[in-house]
Amino acid sequence: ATLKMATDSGAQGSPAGDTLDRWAELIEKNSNGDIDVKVFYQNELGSQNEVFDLHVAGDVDVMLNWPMTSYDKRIGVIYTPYMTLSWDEALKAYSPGGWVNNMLGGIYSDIGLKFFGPWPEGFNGVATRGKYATNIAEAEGLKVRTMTVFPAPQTMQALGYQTAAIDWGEVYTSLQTGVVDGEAGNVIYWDYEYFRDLLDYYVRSKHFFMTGVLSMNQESFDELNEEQQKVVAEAAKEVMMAQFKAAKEQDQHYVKEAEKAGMKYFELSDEQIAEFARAAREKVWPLMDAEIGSEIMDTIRANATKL
Amino acid sequence: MIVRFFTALDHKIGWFLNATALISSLMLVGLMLFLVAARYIFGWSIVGLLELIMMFGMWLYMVGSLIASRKREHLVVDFIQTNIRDRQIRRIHQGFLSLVTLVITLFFVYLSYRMLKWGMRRPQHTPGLSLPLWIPQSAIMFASVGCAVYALRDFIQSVIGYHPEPVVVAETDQQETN
Amino acid sequence: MEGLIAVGILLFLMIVGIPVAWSFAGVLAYLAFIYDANFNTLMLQGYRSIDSVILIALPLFVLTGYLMQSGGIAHRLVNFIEVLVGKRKGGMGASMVLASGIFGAIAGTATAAVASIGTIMVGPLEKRGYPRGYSSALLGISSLLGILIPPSITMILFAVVTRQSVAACFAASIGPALLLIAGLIIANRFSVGRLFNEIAVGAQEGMSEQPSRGKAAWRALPALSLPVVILGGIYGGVCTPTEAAAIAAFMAIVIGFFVYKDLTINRFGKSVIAAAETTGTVILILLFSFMIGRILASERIPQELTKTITELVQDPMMILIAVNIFLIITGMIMDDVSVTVVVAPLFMPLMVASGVDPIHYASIVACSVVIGANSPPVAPILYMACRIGQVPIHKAVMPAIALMVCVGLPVMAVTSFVPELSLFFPRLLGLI
Ligand code: NA
Ligand code: NA
Repeated sequence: ATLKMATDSGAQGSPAGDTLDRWAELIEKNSNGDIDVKVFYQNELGSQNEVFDLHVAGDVDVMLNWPMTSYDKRIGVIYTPYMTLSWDEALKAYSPGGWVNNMLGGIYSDIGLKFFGPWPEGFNGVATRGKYATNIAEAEGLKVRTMTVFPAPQTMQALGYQTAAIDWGEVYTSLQTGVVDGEAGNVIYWDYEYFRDLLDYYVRSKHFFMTGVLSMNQESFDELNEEQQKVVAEAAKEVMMAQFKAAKEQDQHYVKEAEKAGMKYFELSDEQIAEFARAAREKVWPLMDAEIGSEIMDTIRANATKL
Repeated sequence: MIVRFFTALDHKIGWFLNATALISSLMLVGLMLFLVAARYIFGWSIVGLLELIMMFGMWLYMVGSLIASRKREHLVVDFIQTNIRDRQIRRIHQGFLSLVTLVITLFFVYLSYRMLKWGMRRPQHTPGLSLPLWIPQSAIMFASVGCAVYALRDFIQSVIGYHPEPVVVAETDQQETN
Repeated sequence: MEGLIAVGILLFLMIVGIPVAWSFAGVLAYLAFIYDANFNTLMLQGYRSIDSVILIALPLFVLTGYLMQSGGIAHRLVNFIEVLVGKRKGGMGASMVLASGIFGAIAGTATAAVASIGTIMVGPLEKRGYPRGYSSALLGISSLLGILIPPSITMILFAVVTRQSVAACFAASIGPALLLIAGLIIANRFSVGRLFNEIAVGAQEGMSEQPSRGKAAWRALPALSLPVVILGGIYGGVCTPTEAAAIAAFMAIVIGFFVYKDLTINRFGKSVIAAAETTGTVILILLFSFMIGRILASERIPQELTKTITELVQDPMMILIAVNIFLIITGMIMDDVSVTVVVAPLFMPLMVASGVDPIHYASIVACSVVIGANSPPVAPILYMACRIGQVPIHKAVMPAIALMVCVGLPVMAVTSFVPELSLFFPRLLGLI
């Protein structure tokens, strides 16, 4: 059998790209060459949306994806602002058996995808130039780019920023020409890797815990025999567990690299985080009730970190 | 009688296409200006405005291509037909071209149909305003069916010899606004 | 092999006279069947590709171009330039080149410049002794300044397909544009008195009285503010290229209706519909090209092509020369949109592997379009210039080839082998 494997974000040699290489290698090795894997890195098959379309349709069989909410709003559950506030809680919630993990598995299966597990990156922040904000008042007048998923723009607005939802492929130009003053969607790796020449500050606002998802098209999965299915799933589990161990260190590594490259990095105090978190929970969570259902939001309210 | 009916129909359709193109263009310019003004004058960020703009954009693209089909003004490499002097050969050539175009536009219709059918099975919505994607996608369906109908028109006309002039004229003809 | 058959089908369909968009759709059908493409997602990918915020700049800049004609903006610009330089030796020809350049800083296409500047200037040029064939050829190549000087539809398309920054691509071809302007003015000056004799100002009859410099400048001021707003907006960090396009269209409407008052509701409507139609023809080509590109990408054809060529030729200089020649040849037999969105991106991996900056490559591609659009047999801009100049094509072909050989090709060669020419402005603006 031949499997097409892709990611929507991550060039060859990036942490995500390395994960694909490793995943492909494990599948080929453990199936004794029975399964052949063709790897496609970011942009090789099109934009983020396009590659996810291909995954849902079965043209891309296995994928490391950053969830798109266009097929099912409930996928946006992972972009619930300030759901978890510490690494320990986050990793627990996303681990197999954890409450977020269970929820995602169900939603993915509804759009025809087999959910293997998350690929955690860490807490995100806001990278800006010229000035930066550690509280809502300071954010006034700062215009930042957000992801084009619900409720990313709404969240940044709750934190006091002006927003422009811009597709990843157009962020660089927007920063260059000054359409936005910063980028507010990612862990520090992406801002370091792509925008370090343009941006001066990174404030770890922690509004989302960022994670990719390892998944397979259900029909492609069903076409494999039981043994092959096991090989793919086990390999996914292995790269997932490796990332759980590596994520925090990887993130710290890129904080250091970013500082070396001249970016100023800020961790926020518990009180500062609490101010942001209260605002986002107050303004954005009610919107999410309407969009993804109160049932899911009640689960989140029951499990979320207490402020 | 039949000719008169189709001529009248063609005028109605032409009017409708032009009106759609006009409205889409004006919405495109207006909404985009509003987006810039909102950001710079009032400091507002309007969630989903770009999604709305893109919808009008897609309809503009597709209606525009349909208008070009109606007027036979799609870009064409025309150095063979401009060099055919014999009327009979020219008519056969036109018949051949419109037949091939008809087959290809039917393929276009099929592709659009499959996109919509798949979209019904796995529906998608835009992130900001939750607009269903079938709205812009149906513009493509509309254009594909329209282009096929116009290819059929061209084929019939070349068979019955209704259109003595070259059916396909060069793109440069469209500069008649001045 | 499949690749050769695909190229064969494309050339057959195009040359036999199937519209370019449907020729691409035909090739798409062939590729979809032999590579067993998934029909659930094929058109969906096409839809996603043209559903781009960057691409929305295209209909807006096309509309601006049409409104310049119908709103009298073009007329004021030409008058202004003529008054400024028209009286010198070779001045009328130089006026046409400069007017096309300024026109190009507002419009994104060449066709708008051919139609409006040609209509206004070819007649007066003839009265000054310029043969119509020569004027039409000069008009054809000058009008292409519209795609070298930002904003440029060619650059928008290239940037969208190859995922480069539009602002950077725009800036890249400014250098080559200046070189082309200089080259054309010198070549024109050289031609005067050798190919034909210029009649001195005042000696000819029937020419309308020219206004004073100050008056012409005052009248042209609203028109001249357009490029300032467009380029200042984009490079001053006020707006994206797409937003600048909307502002430009809006300003052209306001100037046409309320400042010059040349625009009527009727003419406005016609311009909008003509613009929609032009956009529609480009978009269909783009739509099918994108789908072809997706199939090729998932079969890794561009990478294979790169591998094959680099195994044959190692020297980056030779590769650059080969790509140049290939672009010129395809430019002769294909239209500019096809070259920009299908042929040029195929060589992108090869160029990057040979150490050519993608932004520099964008500029090379733009130069190849300038030449291609004027080289027979497929020379839409030259043919259009002949139609506007009311002259049989064969009378314009020789001067066109002469201008291409003496000016167009040298400009493309310098652009290819002096990267600084293309990279200077993007660097200056901090875009690379
Ligand atoms: Na231009
Ligand atoms: Na050509």
